[in-house]
Amino acid sequence: MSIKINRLSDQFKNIFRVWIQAIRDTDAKYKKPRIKMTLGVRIALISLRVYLILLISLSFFKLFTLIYQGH
Amino acid sequence: MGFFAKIYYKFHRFIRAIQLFLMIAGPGIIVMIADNDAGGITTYSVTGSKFGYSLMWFLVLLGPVAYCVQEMTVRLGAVTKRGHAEAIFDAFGSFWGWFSLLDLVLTDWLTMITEFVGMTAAMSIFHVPPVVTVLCVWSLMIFMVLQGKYWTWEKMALLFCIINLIYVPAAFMIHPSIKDILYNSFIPHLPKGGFSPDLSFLLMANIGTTIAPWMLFFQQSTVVDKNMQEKDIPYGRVDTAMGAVATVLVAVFLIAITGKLLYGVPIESAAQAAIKLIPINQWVGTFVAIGLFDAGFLGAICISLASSWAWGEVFGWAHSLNHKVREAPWFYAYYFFDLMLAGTVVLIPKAPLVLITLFVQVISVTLLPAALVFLILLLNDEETMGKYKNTLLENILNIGIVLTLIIISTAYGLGTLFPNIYNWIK
Repeated sequence: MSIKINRLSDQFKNIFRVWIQAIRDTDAKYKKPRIKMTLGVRIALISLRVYLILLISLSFFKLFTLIYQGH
Repeated sequence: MGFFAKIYYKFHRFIRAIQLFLMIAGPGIIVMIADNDAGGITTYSVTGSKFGYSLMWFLVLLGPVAYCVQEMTVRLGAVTKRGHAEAIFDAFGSFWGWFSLLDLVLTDWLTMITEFVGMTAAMSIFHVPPVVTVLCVWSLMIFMVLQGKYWTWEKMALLFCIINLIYVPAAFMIHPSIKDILYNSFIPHLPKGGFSPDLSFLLMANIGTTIAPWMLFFQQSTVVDKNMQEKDIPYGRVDTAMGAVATVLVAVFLIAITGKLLYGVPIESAAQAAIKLIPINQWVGTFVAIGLFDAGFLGAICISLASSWAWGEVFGWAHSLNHKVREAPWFYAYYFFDLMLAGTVVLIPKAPLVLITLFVQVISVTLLPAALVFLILLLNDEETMGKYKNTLLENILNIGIVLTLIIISTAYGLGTLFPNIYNWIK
């Protein structure tokens, strides 16, 4: 039984390693963006991203409030 | 020369164009009709029952908006021969690429749950238990992709698109006032009671169901998988425009049904609308239920593929419906995993599925500006797009769409934080 569990755990570890490697390879492959963005565009994009995350958080807050209130 | 030969000779260019269109048609029609998914059908049903016909104009307006956005993916896919995820990684680097991919995975997974919610609710009306529905849907969806041909999958999907138009004959069965439909479709006006949190929520849900991040990824990937070339772009545009017309028709006719028969009746979902319609008109109620199942199924097959294509493009896995399972194991593994995960959530007892369905539309529309900004930037890259880059007018239109989405999302966010703000506006 314990041998089977060990084998299964090894298989999961292997899959996990393959995934991590795939993510690293993807990061390396696309390290240099083809389109150069100016600092202004970057700041605008990051601000938009942060703002949208805030709105999403608010939506989830409302969803959980409604569920908690039993709607 | 025979009579038919003369006709063929006279119209051969036209006939050839029609033949070419029939070969190329598919991605635009499928994505646009699939966008009327289970969440969409629920949103339209609730819109009709709460506000009658008074928001039809808003949905008619969303047709051209959806066309403008989706047409860009046709050009981008045909010119770059790359899917949307890969195009973002390549152009903006992995930092922004991961963000886009995570947005897609989150919205796709949530939307997939809503598709299963719709399908199980629709089949419950015909006394089919949810477990049986989920198992049958899994089997059918797996069968569809295991054919090993994009062409076969596309034709099957087109068949489900035709069934989605069931709301049009259903609406004619109740003899709605065409004059009222035309007036409410083309004269913009606010419903009685003016702006309210309910209205703001439903406006967002309607946008979220008409344009969603997965649609950008899906259509661009299908354009690439179908091997569309730059010369095919005009046909791709017609395909997308026809899809946009169909999506608006379905929305307007469903609102015509619920707006006429269920106006003022408190309903929360399309399944509930179908149940309440059956005693009034059995055929219309049954058609709404069949349409709801079809919408959920069509949405599910497209959304799960959008995610699988995106992962395949980014990680460099084989990712085409033209591959067999052994040739593209990860592509199909992710597709099956997505299906299983979403289907299983629906079977959790007492989960607030209707509320989740409407909120998913809101989450989709909130994340949409981020996806659209990258699409606009990509379409302005002269080096890649050449003569197919966005014109000034297209940029003005698309930036206008992004700004409108941000304003509406903000209005909704403010309404969440300060529920009394709408009284103050009045």
